[in-house]
Amino acid sequence: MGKQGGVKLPSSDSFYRWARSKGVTRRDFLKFCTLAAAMLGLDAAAVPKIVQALETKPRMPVIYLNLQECTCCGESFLRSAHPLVADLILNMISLDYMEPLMAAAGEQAEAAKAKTMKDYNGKYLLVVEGSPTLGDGGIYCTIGGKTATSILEEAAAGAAAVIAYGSCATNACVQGAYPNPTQAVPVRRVVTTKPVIDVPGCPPIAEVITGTIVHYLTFDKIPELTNQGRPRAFYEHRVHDGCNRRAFFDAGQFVESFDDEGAKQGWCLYKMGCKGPTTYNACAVTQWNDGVSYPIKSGHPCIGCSENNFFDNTPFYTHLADIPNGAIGFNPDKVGVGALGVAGVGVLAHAAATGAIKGREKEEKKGS
Amino acid sequence: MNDSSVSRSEHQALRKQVYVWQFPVRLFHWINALAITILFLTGIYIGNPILTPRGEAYQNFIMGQIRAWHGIFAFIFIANLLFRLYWFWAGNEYSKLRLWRKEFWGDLVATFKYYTFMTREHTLHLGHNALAQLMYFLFIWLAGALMILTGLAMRSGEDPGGVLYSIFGWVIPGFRGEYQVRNLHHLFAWSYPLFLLGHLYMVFRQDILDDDGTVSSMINGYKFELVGSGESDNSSLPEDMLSTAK
Repeated sequence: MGKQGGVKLPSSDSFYRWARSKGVTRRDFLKFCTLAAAMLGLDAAAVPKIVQALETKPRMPVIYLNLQECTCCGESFLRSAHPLVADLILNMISLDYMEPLMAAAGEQAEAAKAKTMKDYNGKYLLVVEGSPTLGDGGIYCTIGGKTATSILEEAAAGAAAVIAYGSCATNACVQGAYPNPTQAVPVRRVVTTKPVIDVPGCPPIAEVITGTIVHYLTFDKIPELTNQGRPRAFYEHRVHDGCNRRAFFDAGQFVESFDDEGAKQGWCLYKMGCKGPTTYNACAVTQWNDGVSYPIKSGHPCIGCSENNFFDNTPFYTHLADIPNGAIGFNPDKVGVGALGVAGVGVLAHAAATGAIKGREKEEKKGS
Repeated sequence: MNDSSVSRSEHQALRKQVYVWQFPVRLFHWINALAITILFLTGIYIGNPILTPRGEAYQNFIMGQIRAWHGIFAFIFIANLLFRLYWFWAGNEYSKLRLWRKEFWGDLVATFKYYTFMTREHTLHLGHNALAQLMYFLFIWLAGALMILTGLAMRSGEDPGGVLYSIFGWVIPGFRGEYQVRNLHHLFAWSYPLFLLGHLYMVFRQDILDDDGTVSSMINGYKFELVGSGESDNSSLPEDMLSTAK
């Protein structure tokens, strides 16, 4: 992993200096640091560390790639909830390349990227939105005449760490759904030699990526990950575990259709196809748009967008237990009852055969 | 039950009472039966909650209760299986499961032939025949292991970083997400009623055809072997064994 200390930069390049020059007060700067610590689930002792890191370390060079995707992650990224964060976060890093945002275009933009990759070799953070594609040599997504896969390989080679941002990058998302004609694959499949942090979601919550970057900047290492390779601070719980409708789940009160009395009362959406029980994400806790709401709170079942193959685990509005099993293509209850029925007929037939054959054998015995 | 009652005294004289199922085996059996029944019923409810109580959420706790009982009986089920694993080692000859033996596979073929009416008589067993042993291995041990793995993996999500999580946390990424884990747990649950059907049929069939006390043996532990058929070693019979037959 790259050491920030190794890069010699004028101290005016630290985030703090930059923020002060833009008229941010020290009070607001400290507020931001406290907020970042809270977001990452760190205790108060971590705040001075964040303050020190942002005061002394150079702004982190970040290259942001857009591969096969829809830019919803980028849109979410720009909408970090708290105004302070939203205003500052983009500037905390030195975002040297991001197609939808940068002013430069064409050769000029590519040159900027090449310069960052050369000057900060082994030290920049690579954020990848979208999936590389392998089908037919990767021709289904090309940027500037290069395939998405080769762009990713090239940029990852000199990166300190790679953040796979959004479900396209972590599990190939919609384009990776069956039959996956472009052979879209997760970033992990292509980048095997660098640490990869999965930040799934379609799109992910903006705070997750800002939090992850702050963590990396402060501690010079990637944050603690869950067993699925995601930042633990945000992805260790299921949406279901912190859901504001959870009380209705435990009570056994379920919405049966979108316009029934239960729906009006705000009951649990489990039977409407909610994937909250199997989805690991921070929606229920962090919520969206400055904590305004999140899908379940506003009456829509969770579609499980941060889970692998969520687009194949459909239909979205069908109760979890009724969705055909991905492996066998049938509803497990129908398979179970069907197998039981067949076995029941088998038992009856065998019993009848036993009765007939053993009866005959007995007759024969008596006769002899 | 049939015309064998005509010759019951004669029948008794020809049979020897053998203690097959030790008390711990019988206890295991009935705890297992109870646990599986409750786990299956509560599990099906968790998958398809059909009751819809009126009133406010704080007045009801149906799903919460059922999930709690599902968890309690899951741990009873697990503890019971662990005990039974110990008893494979500590128990008598009939309590063992030895799939690796050569005789096992020979017996499996012979038993299969018997059940498909290709041969008249089955091989003699006081304990389980090879087919029954194989079914227990598949339905109780393998399916049980899968249910425990997937079940505890889902439970452990409630306490990330906890003990269960550190043991079973690998299961969810192993199946590429909790959705598949949940789905498999639901699917494999159906192997239990399937097993129950076959189990009950075979037990009653055996009892009726051979009149050897198979059904009652799971309560009192005794089976009745034809004298001279000789699976139990002592061919010379003690007097008291001949006298009583329930």
